[in-house]
Amino acid sequence: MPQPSSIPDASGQPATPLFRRGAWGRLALALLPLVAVSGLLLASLYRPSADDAWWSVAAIRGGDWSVVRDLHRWGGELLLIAVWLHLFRVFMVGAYRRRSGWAVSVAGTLFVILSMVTGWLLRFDHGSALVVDSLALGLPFLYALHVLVLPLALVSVFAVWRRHRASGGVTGEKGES
Amino acid sequence: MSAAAHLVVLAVLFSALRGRLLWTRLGGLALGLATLAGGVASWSDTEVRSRLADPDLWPAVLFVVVAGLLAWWTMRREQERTRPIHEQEEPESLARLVPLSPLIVGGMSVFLVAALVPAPVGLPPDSAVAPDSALSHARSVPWFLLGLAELSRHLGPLVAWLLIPLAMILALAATPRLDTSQPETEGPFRGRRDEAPFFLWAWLGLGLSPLVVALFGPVPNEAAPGPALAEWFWLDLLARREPDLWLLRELPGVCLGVAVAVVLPWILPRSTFTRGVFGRHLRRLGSRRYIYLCLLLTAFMLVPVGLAMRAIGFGPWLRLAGGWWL
Repeated sequence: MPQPSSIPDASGQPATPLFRRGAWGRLALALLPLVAVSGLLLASLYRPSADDAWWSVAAIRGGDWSVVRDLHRWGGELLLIAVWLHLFRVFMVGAYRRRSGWAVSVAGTLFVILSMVTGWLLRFDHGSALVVDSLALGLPFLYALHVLVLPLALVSVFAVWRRHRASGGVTGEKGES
Repeated sequence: MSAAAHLVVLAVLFSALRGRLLWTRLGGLALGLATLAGGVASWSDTEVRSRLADPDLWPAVLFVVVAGLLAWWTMRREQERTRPIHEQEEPESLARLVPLSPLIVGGMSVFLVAALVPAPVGLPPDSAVAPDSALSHARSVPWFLLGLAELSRHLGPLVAWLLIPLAMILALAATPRLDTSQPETEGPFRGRRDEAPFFLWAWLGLGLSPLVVALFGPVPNEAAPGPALAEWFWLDLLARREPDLWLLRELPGVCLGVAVAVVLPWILPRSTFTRGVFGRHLRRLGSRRYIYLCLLLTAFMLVPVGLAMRAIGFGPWLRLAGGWWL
């Protein structure tokens, strides 16, 4: 049985772990539950109002749940990097010809970016407060987007990806997903 | 300086994209050394050093490094595939150097970073303390929007926060429809020598280079000479204050953009210099997809054109043109 690092990809050349097909996509899928669970735990501690938002975040950081917030934050950052690099690799190897798989990847990336943006706005610090005020979007609206609408959208994308993958419709580069 | 730095990064990317030198081991070594030298030079700047000490921006550095490595690696492999077998270099052995699965590395690194680095919370919203001017640009938006924030300083908010992201989304959505090569041909260049470099340049040039400049570039505020088009039109040309309604205020730019978007697709397949490439596009893609490609191209070209106009001084240049026309 060949070693994983020597399995050739579609180009016929050995793939390296960093650039192996589907590696970034799998990493993103593995990070999603981590980010979701840590977000659920934080939801009970966060208060989405202009007066309390930043102070509740600061209280989380100074309290026992600090590490959960750290996991949520750094996991989200790595998730964003992983979906971007996944999309980039799919483009680079030409696997976007399977349009459904490409559409799922693009939609997933956009939803992750929007989740990151709303997460940053919910922090409501000196910088993000200016943006929230200039956008005239209330924190409760952004909170609903962040904890309800966007996660549902991501779950929907994941469900579509699973269905297409089961029917063999997502794989573009002989297993690219 | 910042607009000029952008242009240099874009020009190097554009010229190197279809060459072979950068994708050899020697080219990779030279690129690595140049990156290292740039990093050392940036580190000697106190503002850049303070910027990079901010944990908020560490993911950006990670992203730039890994995306650059991924782009180089893939391009190198594709260039190798298009060479005759006897000229090809030995297969790489990076796999042996990085033997762990990215899943394990990625998952473990999140826990490790979370244990070691507390996620920043920023300053309170009602803080009277103004952020350091050298850092305010970097800290005013999250790292993944730094590139657009950097472009916003040179191109204005309408282009940077609306048109460019819209063009990127459209380009992503349109990629499978604009690639007309056969399904069995794979790789960045194989069978799509015209489309792929354009998109790759758009991705790297517009997605990555502003982020690089925002992270490692000099303190930016001195870097945007000359007024924006709307300022020139209302203040200088018409000698009246700018309208409050943003659509009316930006109307000159919108009209110019629409005019370029309509005229450019018509001119490109007919002019002497661009007839070859764009005439071929028109034949291969058909008129509908060709116009779509031209619209994307126009949107992406706004970045270097806008940066160049800022770098040379937009106002005097436009006044000269206005003198001719009026």
